[in-house]
Amino acid sequence: MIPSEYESELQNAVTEVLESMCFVSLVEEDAPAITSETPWVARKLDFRGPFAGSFGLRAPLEMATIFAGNLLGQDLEELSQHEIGDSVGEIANMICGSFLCKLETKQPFDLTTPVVDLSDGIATGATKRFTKDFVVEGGLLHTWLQIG
Amino acid sequence: MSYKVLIVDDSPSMRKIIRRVINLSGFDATTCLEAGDGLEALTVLDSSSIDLVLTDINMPNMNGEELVARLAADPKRSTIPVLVISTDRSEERIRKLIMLGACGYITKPFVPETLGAALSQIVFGGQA
Repeated sequence: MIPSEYESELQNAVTEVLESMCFVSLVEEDAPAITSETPWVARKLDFRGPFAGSFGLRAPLEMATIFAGNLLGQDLEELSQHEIGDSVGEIANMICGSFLCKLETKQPFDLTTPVVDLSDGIATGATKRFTKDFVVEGGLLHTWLQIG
Repeated sequence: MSYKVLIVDDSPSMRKIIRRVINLSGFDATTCLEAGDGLEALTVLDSSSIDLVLTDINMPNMNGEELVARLAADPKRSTIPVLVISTDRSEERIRKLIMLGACGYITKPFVPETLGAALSQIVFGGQA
């Protein structure tokens, strides 16, 4: 669970990015069933500034493809795996940047280029990882945040 | 009049998004060239006549801050307007980029109207 002081700002950031760039909205529904066979697209990035940490997100391939298609304005059949992954990375970048700027308005953060997240939702090192799932039209968006 | 725009971002997807949003905004950009970082941008600027540069900040090899500073310090290129497009909306970052020589700054995520208005402001000085 994301601490409550961060949760609403993260939700605002997710909503802002998905609605303005991907033309999808969060919905108040039960999370769709996810099986162990569901293929995911996962990206993460690190940030440094007034405080440091990492942010990541995972989306089922089917939903990630819709995000990428809407983001790039391309037919879903035309999208390459690279374009889908790169688009999810950009979504992670925009959500993280928007979220951090809601917490700290004066001092800047530096964000690294998003990379493939192979952690499979498991935190690395001793730092606690907070998680938050969002139900989006068509699927589940899993986010995580590590500070410190 | 149509304009030749250089889009500088290390993400090919984001360059494609910006290109698409420029088209949606109605801004008249006949040609959009692309570069993956500041160094590549300087190479493109050496070989092409560019009316407007749109750049990200966090990039490998040469970041957006250094690119803006290099262009501002070069008498041959200092007149090329540079619009920064970044996820960072902190006051300090925006102030720094404007001081370095950027003529505008918009934050991601953005809608076509925002980018179109920023481009028109730069090109027409608010007389779109």
